[in-house]
Parts: sequence; C-alpha cells; structure tokens
Amino acid sequence: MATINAIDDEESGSVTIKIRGRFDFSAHQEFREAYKTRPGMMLFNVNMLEVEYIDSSALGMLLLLREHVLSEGGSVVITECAKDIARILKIANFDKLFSIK
Amino acid sequence: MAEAVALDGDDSFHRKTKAISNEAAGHLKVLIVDDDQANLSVLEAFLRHDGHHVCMARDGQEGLALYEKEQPDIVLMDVMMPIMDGYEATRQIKQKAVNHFVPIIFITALTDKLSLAKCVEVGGDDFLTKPVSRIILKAKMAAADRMRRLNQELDDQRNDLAKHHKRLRQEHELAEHIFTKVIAGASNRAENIKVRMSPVAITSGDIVLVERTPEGCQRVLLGDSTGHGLSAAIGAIPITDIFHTMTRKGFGMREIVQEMNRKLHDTLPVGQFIAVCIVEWCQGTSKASIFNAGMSDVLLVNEGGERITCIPSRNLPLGILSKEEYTVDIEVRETGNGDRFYMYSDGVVDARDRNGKEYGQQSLEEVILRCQKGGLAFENICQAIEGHGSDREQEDDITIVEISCHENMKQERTEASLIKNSAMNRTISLRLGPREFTTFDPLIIVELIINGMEPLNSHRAFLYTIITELYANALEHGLLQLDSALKDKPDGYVIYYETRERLLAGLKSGWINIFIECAGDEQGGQITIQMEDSGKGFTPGQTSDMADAAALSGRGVALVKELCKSLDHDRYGSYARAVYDWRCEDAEKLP
Repeated sequence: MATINAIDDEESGSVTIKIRGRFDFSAHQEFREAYKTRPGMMLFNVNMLEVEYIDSSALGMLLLLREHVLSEGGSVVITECAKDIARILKIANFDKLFSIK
Repeated sequence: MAEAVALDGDDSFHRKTKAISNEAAGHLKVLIVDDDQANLSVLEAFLRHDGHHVCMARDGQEGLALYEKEQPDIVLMDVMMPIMDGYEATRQIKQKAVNHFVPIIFITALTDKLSLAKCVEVGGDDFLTKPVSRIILKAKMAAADRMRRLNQELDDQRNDLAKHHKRLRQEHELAEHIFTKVIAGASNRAENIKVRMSPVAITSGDIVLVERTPEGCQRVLLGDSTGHGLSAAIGAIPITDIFHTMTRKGFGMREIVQEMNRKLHDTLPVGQFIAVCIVEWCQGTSKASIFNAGMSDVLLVNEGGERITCIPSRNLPLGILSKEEYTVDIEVRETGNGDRFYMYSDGVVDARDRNGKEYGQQSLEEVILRCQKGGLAFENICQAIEGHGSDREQEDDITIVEISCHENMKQERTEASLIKNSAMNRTISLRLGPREFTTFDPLIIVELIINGMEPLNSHRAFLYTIITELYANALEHGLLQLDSALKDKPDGYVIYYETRERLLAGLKSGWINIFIECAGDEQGGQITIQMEDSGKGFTPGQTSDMADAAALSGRGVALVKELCKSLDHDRYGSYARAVYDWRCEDAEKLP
C-alpha cells in the first residue's frame, strides 16, 4: 500500500507530497488529508519517484488535488515519475492538466 | 448543596450539575415507564432540560413495545403498574437485549429492602426511590451510561476480533490456493527424486523446487519460510521464479542464491526470512554441490546404507543480510552410484510423540540406515515419521526429499527445453468468491504472470494497471453495482469507497472468474486476460474515452484500452477480454 508524506516549506509556501509504493484508492483519505489540512499553501509538488503502481482511482485523486488547489489560486506539479507511470499519466492526457517534470 | 427535591428549579443547581451531565451522560435516548402522569412529566422535564431525548410508556407492556420500537440507551422503570409491572417488563427487556447492554434504573416508591433487592434480581441495574432527587438521578444516569459505553466498547472489540480472525482465515485459503496451483505446480519432478509434504492444517511454509540446468544437472531446493499462510507465500513466489528461471539459463548456484537473498532482503518485512537448502547433482561427474542456509543437516547416505555424512548449515537464511553482507558457502561432495541425499524441514525432527518426545535427528538417521537395505527406503522413512507423530496434532510442516544418484538414468536434456517452453506458454485460472473479495489483491495475479518469465518484469506496472482496472470493474460495477457517477459529486471519492466497503462486507454471493493465457518466448509474446463476473452487468464504453481529461470518473476502461492491443466486452459488460502484447525491451541487459 502507499505511504504518503507531506513536507511543508513555509518560506516558499510550497508542499511536497511524496508517495511511495502502490498509489491506489486505499490511500485516498491520507492523500486528501495531505492537501486539505494545508490552507494557504500555493505550490503542491507531488513527488512520484517511488510510486511502483498506479490505477485510475489514483488519477482521480490527483484531479481532486488539482481542483482543490486551483480553487485556492495555487498550482500543482508532478515530479520524478518512473517511465511506466509517466506513460500512464500521458495516456490519461494528464500532461494537459498538470505540469509534469 | 443539600439533597434536592423533585421540583427544584434553583439556577445554581443547574450550573453545578450541568458539567456532570454533558461530560458523562451525553445526549441519550431515555425510555420512561410509569403509570403516573405527574411522575412522567417531572422526569421528562428533567431529562429534556439536560438535552436527552425522551419517550414514555404508561405500563410495562407498552414499555416493552416502545423499547423495541425506539431502542433507547437507558430505561427508567416504575415498579407497580397495571397490565404488566416493572419487574416483568425488565425481565423481558433484558431477555431481548442479550447482545447489547441497556441499563435499566428502577424508580420506585417502595422502600422495603425485599422490593429493592428484587429490582436487581430481575435484571435491573440500579434503583432510585421517589421523590426523585435531581442530583442523584443525574449521577446514576451518568454511571449507567459509563457502564453502557464500556459494554459497547467490549462488544466492538469482540466484533473486530471476529472480523480479524475471519480475514486471516481467508488469507490462508488464498495462500493455499497459490501454493497448490502455482508453486507446487511449477516444479518438475524426476524419477529419482521423491518428495513427501505434510503441511500443517491449512497452508505450508515449505516449498520444494526441482529444475534442470542446461548441462543436465539436477538442482533441488527445499525451503522453509518463517510463518505460514500468505506471508509465507509472498516470499515463496520470488524464490520459485528466480530458481527456475536462472537455473534454466545456466546460472551457477552462487549467483542464484545471491539473487534470491537480494530479492527477499528487498521485499520481505524485517523479521521474516526463508531457510533453504539446495542440492545439485550432476550425473556422470560423481559430484554434488550442497548449499545449506539455516535448514537441518542434509544427509548423504552411501548405497550400502552403512554410512551417513551430515552437511550442516554454514550460511544464514535468505532475506536477513543485504547483498553486500551476504557470503555464500557451498560444499562439494563425491557421490557414488546409488548414494542418496535426504533434505528435510525441521518439522521432521521436531515432531513429538504422545509423551512430548521429539523425533530427533538421531532417530531419523537410524531409520534411514535401517531402511536402506529394504529397497523401499523412502516409503518406510515417511511411515516411521508419520507413525511417530500420528497420535498428536502436527505442529509444523513436515517435508522430506530424497535424491537418488543413479548413474544409469537416461539423460533428459531434451526435456529441459520443453519445460522451458511450457513456463512461457501457460494458463492461470482463478475463481474468486465472496470470501475472497475482501482480501484479494490483484498484485498476486501480476506476480503469477511474471513468475518464471523474467523479461516481463519491465511490464509489471502496466500489467498491474490493466488487471486492477478489470478487476475493479468486475467487482465494483459488476457485482456491487456501484455507479462511478458517485465520484463526480463533492466528496464523491470518500462516499464511493465507503459505499464500496459497506457493500463488500455485506456481499454474500457472486463470483469473478479470471483466466489468463500467456504465449510467446523470452523475446516477447501475448497475454490474454479474461475476466467474467456473476453481476448484472454495467455499461462500459459510455464514458470510456479520454476526451475529458478532467472528468473524475470513467477513466479505467479507457486506460486499459490504451495499454492493450485490444479490449472487448460482451454487451452486458460482465465479461471482458484484454490482449496485451509485449516485447522484451532490454534483452541484452538481462543476466
């Protein structure tokens, strides 16, 4: 199952959400907590370096994050995806919605 | 403050008692049973003032009916009433509430000791005498509520325990399935190798693997996982995979052991490991190599049955040390025609008889020597061990393997390539029922597909996504009839997965069949995944394109479509067939 860690950088007003393992619906509460509990943060950096597996519910969760952050005037960046995970994001046209680095 | 009487309306009194009520008693649903309207009104006023919900009955029988209808948290009960008195009503309420605790407090004008004692005797939890003191009533209600909560907690814990137990059992059953269908099935037997496995109750932590090297040597592995059940199975899958694949490719024992250790060290939780021994015997060379990591001594018995050589463990079990720390110590022994190797799990020597006496290695050696003369050695050894423990419940898995070094056996080089071929071309079929759904993990299927087909490793993430989506569709839309549109509402994800959890827990029937065919060779091939469920079907395809990238639902099917060569559904949506083409992307990088 996935583990989710959120690290704040108060100075720049950014949060790094690091996801490890299998990113699926079992993480939805933890993932939601990670951004709902951080009002006022403007930049959310989702680090996927250690994500091994992903499914459509995880994609949905990323969209919920995006909706939430955009409504507060912030932005979301997805970083360090493994090749296969990046391809799945691309198939889902996520490169049009997110900045993927 | 002194004793308050029934209609005390003093403000300071309210302030003083408020704390008790809010903190301890909370807001409760209280049933008052009393035939006197004045009493009812007074009690009702007290309780409502403190924020409780009140319902009222005028005799025992009415009280009983109202109890069933309203399911109150606490009952206040008068004793003397027409039609049915408070004693009888209490008796009957307590009978009905066997599975949960409802405190009943008697409120009575009776003051004789016998009448009050009877209140408790019939099942009442406390009593109060009229006129009712507000302070005492509050205090007693608070105490009764504490008791009620405590009971509730105990109940919850008991239910959790039962659920946990059930889940464990399901995991064991699934693990058993993996063991019998995959690991046991993947091994190639040979005429000179005999195996006896008597696993403990449900699932074995022991595995036996047999494979041939390209040179025609036989390699036999006996492994013993810490624990049983699913955790044991999870460690056994990579062992099986690495052993077969690398042996067929001609890797030496040292490299295979290092790779198994690395993989287990990376994947197993701390504290879990696997003891293994491997014997490799090459016909025509009169030599055998033995690797023993944490297993009982491997025994080598000469043909005449006069001499036993013990090869003890000189290595740590696999999965404990990192690749850099782990060293491999392999022994080489001369073998004569007709010599036999025995490998066994510690369940054999630990088996106890009725008096608690362990069988012990010495007894085993004696039996082996005695039996060598008869020609039916293996059968006799097994009988002797099983006879020893037959009157007691077996405590550990018992596995024993015999390898006979017959120099005049036919060489079976051609068979090796056939075996290799069959590992690439195979089918996996699983049928899941309601008992499996709560614990089934689609990752297991991915492991089953990849098991033995190393080049597929780089397709792991895609295979996982494809299988998870197909399985989620079959389960959530097919069997549970969940509507993905739920996800589009605010908080939809939380609601969707809470609903899923609830429906899943209540699911009593239904099945999902998974059938997978793998074809191809190490360069590439095709995997066909078919999934069928017993649900009423759903309508796939309605939302299955990626046009609206930001839509919150309907992405799963589209993902599978993009990742696969083809995806078809029947018109009901309860059958799906996905075809995945793959190529070995880095053939030159493989070991």
